Amino acid sequence: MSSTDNKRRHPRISIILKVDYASGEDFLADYTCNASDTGLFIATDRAFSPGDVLDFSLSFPGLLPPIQCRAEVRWRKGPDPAQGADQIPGIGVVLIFETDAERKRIEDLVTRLRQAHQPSPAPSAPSVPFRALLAEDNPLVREMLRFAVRKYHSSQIPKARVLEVFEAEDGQRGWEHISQRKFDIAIVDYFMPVMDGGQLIRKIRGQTDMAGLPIIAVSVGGDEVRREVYAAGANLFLDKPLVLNQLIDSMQRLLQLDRKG
Amino acid sequence: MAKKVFLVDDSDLIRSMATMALEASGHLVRALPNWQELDAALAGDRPDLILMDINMPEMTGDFALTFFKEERGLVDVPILLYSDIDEQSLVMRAQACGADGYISKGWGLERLTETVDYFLHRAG
Repeated sequence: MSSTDNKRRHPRISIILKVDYASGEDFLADYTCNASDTGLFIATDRAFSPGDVLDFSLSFPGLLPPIQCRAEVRWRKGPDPAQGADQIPGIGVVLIFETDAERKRIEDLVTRLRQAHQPSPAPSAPSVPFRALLAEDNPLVREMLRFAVRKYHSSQIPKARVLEVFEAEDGQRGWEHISQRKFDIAIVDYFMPVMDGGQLIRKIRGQTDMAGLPIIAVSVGGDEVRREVYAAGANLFLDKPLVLNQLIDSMQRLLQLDRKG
Repeated sequence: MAKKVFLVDDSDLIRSMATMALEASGHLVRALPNWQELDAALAGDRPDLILMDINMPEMTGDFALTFFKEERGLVDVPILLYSDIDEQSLVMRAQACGADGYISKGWGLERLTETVDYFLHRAG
């Protein structure tokens, strides 16, 4: 079957999920950024080779319970400096199903995710403000994050839902904001004074009524911080330097899934 | 009259080489290593053109370009992406972020000054 035929029969959807590998000490959380019901692209720096068989679980913290998967690595790409710094290294895997029930679970997941990518109807309570928390210690970076949130809000959220952005220069101030009102999304830097982003996310997830709050963690810390923030309960980790479109796109996908999940 | 060019790049070597080339071409250059210093410089000075590297700390150059254009009143100031990523990606990113143009570092210093001169001349 040609690649085009395959894509037609199994249309790919771009979605971000958390990937936890089963091998304990090798634990590393990665994410998929492209999924069909037969395969996934998993963003990872790890040196997997074609033919490797992986056991892992897919989840979306606070929104989607873990689903166990087995898959075979078919190809690997990057990092390729010639493709630019935003070229994501990773592996293409084909899912292996041992029972019809396993196949059905994945099909259901993909169906649900695909539905989440259809245009969303306006939320039922349009007068409720759209609230974003920005926890970041660098004032200019905070302003740039606010700019991105405004762009997202103006393009995706009905005007009746006024944007309210709350800013925190450290995790403790972020926690004060978040314990006082309900938020729609939080963007949390990892390296902050007083309380770091990992501690803040863990505190948020410790509150049952905030289990579903979409949280994007951002940092220059690479894989070590990615592991830490996923373990703490972040929905998504984005490496700094941040790309505006990736940030807006990530907000859009997280919030669509949140609304429909 | 000499034109003011702001160059934002986190590489000491690039800042130094590009500054020499642009100054030799008759421009006044402020070489800045990060977005904070660009922001501070803009508070007291207005450039005729800005060059921005893409692979910078915190935010990419194309993110910063859109931000500074819209939030610091620089719509009329030509801002060019200045990067060593492959040219095809550079063109796409420049178009997507609203850059006035782009310069590949691989083109060399002579073409850097020629392109800067072209945009300065066009801007009047």
